[in-house]
Amino acid sequence: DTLRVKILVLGDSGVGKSSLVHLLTNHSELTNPAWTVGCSLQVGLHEYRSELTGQAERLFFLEFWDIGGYPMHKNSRGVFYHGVHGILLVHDLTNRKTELNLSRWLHESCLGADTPPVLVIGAKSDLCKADTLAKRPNGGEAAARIGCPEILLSCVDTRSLSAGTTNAVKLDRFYDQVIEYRLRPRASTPPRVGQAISRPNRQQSKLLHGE
Amino acid sequence: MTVGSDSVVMLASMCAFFALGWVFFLKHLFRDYEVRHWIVLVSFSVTFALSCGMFELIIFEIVGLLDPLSRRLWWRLCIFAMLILVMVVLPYYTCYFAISSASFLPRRRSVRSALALACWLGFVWLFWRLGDPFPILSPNHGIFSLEQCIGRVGVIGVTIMALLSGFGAVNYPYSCMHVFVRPVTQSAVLGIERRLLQTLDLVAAKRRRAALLRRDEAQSRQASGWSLPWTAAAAAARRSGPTAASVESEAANHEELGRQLFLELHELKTAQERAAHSRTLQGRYFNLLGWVFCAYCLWKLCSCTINIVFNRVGKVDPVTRALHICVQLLGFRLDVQFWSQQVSFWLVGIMAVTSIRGLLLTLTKFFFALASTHSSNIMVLLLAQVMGMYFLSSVLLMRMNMPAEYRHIITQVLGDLQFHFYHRWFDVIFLLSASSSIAFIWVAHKQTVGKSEHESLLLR
Repeated sequence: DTLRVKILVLGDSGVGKSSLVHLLTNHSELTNPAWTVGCSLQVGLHEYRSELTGQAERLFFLEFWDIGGYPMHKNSRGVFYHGVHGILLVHDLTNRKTELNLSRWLHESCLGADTPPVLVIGAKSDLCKADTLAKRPNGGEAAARIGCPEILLSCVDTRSLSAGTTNAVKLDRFYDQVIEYRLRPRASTPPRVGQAISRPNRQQSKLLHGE
Repeated sequence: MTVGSDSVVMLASMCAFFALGWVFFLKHLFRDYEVRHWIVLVSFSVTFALSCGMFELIIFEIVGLLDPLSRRLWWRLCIFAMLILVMVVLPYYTCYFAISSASFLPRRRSVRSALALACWLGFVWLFWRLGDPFPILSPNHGIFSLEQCIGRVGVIGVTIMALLSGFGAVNYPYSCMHVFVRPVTQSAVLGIERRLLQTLDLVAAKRRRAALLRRDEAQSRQASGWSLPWTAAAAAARRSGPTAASVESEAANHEELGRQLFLELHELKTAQERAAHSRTLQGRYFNLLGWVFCAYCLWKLCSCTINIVFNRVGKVDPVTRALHICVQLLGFRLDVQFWSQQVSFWLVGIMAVTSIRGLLLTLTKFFFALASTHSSNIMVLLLAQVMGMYFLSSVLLMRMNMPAEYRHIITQVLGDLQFHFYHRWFDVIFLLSASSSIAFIWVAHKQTVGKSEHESLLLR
C-alpha cells in the first residue's frame, strides 16, 4: 500500500515547468514541449526512510501537478489548490520578472493557514551568463523572502540532478519534508475564535498577508 | 511668437509624450518580460510620441496656437519621421529579431544584419507592389515622392482602422449588453469541477501504474544485463500485462479530455463573472453604453451601405452641417465662427483621445494573448508599426470631420492625395468586417447557448 503526496509546480508561462517535471519523473529531457493548458499530472517515485522512527524504507508516489501559467486562466485554477503537500516554485534565470512574480503565485495557491514545504527552482541555467549564477550561491531574492532553499539547474541537462550533487541532496530533503508534512497528524478541532493561531514561519505569514 | 519659442513648446510636449510611452511600455505592456534590447523600447516610445504629436498639432491648428510657419515645419518633421520609422526602422528590426530567433541560422552578427537587410528590401518591394491596384499614382508625382509613401501607408492603415472599427462596433455591444449574458448556475460549475478532478484522478492512477512498470522494467533490464530497449519490450511481452508505454498513452488520452474540461470550466467561470459584473452599477452603465453603441453601429452600417451604393461623397463636415441646422432650421442666433472652432476642438480632441486609448487597449490585449518569451520583441515591433500606420491614417481620415478652414493644413502637408478614395475604402472594409463579425459572433453565441442547454439537460 503506497501513499501519495501532491506537489504543485507553479510559475509563469514559459519558464520550463513541464520540462522540469519530465526531468524529475523520467530522468530524461523533454524533446517537444507544448504549452500546458490546465494541469498536466506526472508521477515519480521516492523512497522515504524516517530517521526518527528508524522504520524500513517506504515507497511514496510523488504526484507533480504542473499547472499552466496563463494569466487569463487564473479564475479557473482554484480547483487544483486543495490538499497540497508541497509546492515547487519555478522561475526563469534569464528573466528576472518571473522571479518577482513567485510571491504572487504562492499567495494565490496557499488557501489555508498552514503553508506546505516550498522549494524554489531556477531553470534555464544553461542559457544564463556565468556571473549571474555566481551572484546567488545561497539563493536569490524570492527564496530569501519566502524562507526556503533554492536549486539552479538546466532542464535539458540530465546531469544537474545526478546522485550526489548538491541539487539532488536539496531535492531529496524537500521530498522528505513533503512526506513528513503528509504524515503529520492534523488537529481534529479547529481553533476557537480568539485563540491565537501559531504560525509556522513568520516570513511566510508576512508574504500571505500581501506585502 | 517666433519659430524658436514654438519649437521649444513642441519639443517639451514631444518629450512628455515620449516619457508617457516609455512608462506605458515598461509598467504595463512589458511587465512580465525583461527588456534586453533598448532599441525596442526606444522605437515604441518614439512612435507613440510622434502619433500624439500629430494629434496635438491638429488641435493647435484649430485653436490657432503657435505660428503657422512653425506649425507647418513641425507637421513636415512629424510626417517625415513617422514615415522613416514605419518604413525603414521598424521593419528592419522586426526582420533582424525574427532572424535572431530562428535557431538554424548562423549566429554571427554581420550575417544576421545582412539577412535582415535582404528581408527588409523584400518588404519594401512588397510594400511598393501593394499600392499598384489603388489610385494612388497621380501623373504629377515622381516615383519616390512623399505622396507615394503616404498613399501606401494610408491604404494599409485605413484597412487596419476599418477592420478594428468593424469588429469593435459589433463586439463591444455584444460583450456589454445584458441581453447576451448567459446565466450560469453554481451547480453547473461544480459539476464541471467534479468531472475535471475525476479525470485527473484517473490520469494519476494510470501514471502511478506506469511509474511502477517503468521501475520494474528498469530493474529487470539491469538484472539481465541487457541495455537495448527492444529486448526490454520483448521481455514485457513475454510477461502478461501492459507495458509502461501503453499505460502512458492511455493516460495521455485522459489528459486531453481533462484539458477540454478545463477550457469549458474557464468559459463557465468567465460567463459567471460577467453575470455578476452586470448586476453592479458599473455593469448597468456599460449596458447603457452598449445600447448606444449598438445604435451607432447600425447607423454606421446603413450610412456605409448608402455611401457605397449611391457613390455619395460627403462634401460638408458634420460640424458645419450641425451648426447649419441649428441656425437655419432651429433659428438659434449663433456666432458660427466661434462655435465652429469650439465644437471642432472638442470633437477632434475627444476623437483623438478615444482613438489613442482604444488602440492601446486593443494592442495590449493582442500582446498579452499572443506574446511569449521568444516572440515578445517581434510582437512589440509589429504592434508599434501597426500603431504608426493607424495614427497616420486616422489623421488622413480626420480631415473629413473638420471644417474647411482647418482642413487645408492637412491637405497641404499630406500632399495631393485622393482623399475620397480613402473614405470609400474605409466604408467597404468596415462593411465587410462588421458583417463577418456579426456572422462569427452569431455562430459562436448559438454554439455556447446550445452547449449550456445540453449541460443543464445532463444535470437534471
